[in-house]
Amino acid sequence: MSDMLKAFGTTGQPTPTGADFKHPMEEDIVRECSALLMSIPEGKRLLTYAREQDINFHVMTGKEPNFRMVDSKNLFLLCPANTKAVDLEEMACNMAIGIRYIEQPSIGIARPTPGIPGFDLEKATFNHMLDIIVEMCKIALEFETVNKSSKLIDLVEKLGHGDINRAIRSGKSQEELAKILREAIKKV
Amino acid sequence: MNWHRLDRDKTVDMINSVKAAAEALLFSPVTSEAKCARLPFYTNHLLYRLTNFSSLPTFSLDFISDGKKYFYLDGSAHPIEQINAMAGLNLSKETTIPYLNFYFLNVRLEEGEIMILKNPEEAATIDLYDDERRENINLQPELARVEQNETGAWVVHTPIFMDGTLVDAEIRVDTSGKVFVKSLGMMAQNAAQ
Repeated sequence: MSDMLKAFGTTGQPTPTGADFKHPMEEDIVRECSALLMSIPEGKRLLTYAREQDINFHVMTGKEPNFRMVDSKNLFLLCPANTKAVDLEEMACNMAIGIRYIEQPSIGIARPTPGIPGFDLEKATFNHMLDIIVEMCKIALEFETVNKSSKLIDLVEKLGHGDINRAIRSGKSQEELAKILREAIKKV
Repeated sequence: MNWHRLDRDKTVDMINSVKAAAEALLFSPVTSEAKCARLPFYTNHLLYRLTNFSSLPTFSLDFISDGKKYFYLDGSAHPIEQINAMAGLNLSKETTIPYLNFYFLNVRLEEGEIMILKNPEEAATIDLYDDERRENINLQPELARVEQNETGAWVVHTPIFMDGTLVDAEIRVDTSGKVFVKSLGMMAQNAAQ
């Protein structure tokens, strides 16, 4: 995996038990993910949105690259302690879709929140998922175009979103993408 | 993995024990579930999982604990090695493969994702994001050979999936639980059938 690994510099230190879970390389990770996102149009747009909305980035150690929105001002990225085992594009993509997650309600995509009476959770989850997958494919395509890197495309395929990715590239409509996702969900 | 759900009081205790992460990520007794599972290679420690259901997709953090002190599985080998040194590791012909399955599930390696395969044919269909398959740590591969060498280390000879490739591997686990993977060469998926 990982030739980017070197991009973060040295390996992170183990998480001290009982202490906080902040990643020892938090600043480096945020800086390098931001720099990478700034190299692509959608990444630049999302970072501009994050800056305008005063979104704070935090990095915790975690088993796999991931993100978690705590509230609309705080986005937690999860990054394995050993950064040499992490792909920088994957981390940057997590940052991007984390920002998108925060942005969603402002563009009419409801957050899938369980337990709200009268709320169509199934529909909200579907719309949220579709938007996040489309966003991921968009970021992957831009990394491929601008940085000539296909690592994120490979991850999109591995995650099982190859059909949607190809549909986006061939210019299919949002309705057609939704249909593909519905079919994929049915197969699971 | 056979999970046992913790009752509310134990869930609250667990959240309090891992406060730094739990507070930061909004784990609360109302929106969270805690559960534990036995690990055959540890005598006094269990695997604990704290899941936050407050929004979708749900989100989990895993720990190893004796019920008092929680060791966060952070993607490195460090917490596992800490437990091994502190509480001992019970490796045998029966528990070595479950230990390796658990290790590869929880440690992010520079070599890429590693999974011990049920058989070489599984390489053609395996889904690395199938949590149920990945978390089935007791799955015993059909063609594995497990032997103990003169130093006390356990050596496993088995087909594995390493960073997307079917590989014939020799995996050594020393007495402290450190894992060493040696590729003996790529295997052709059709030749394996």
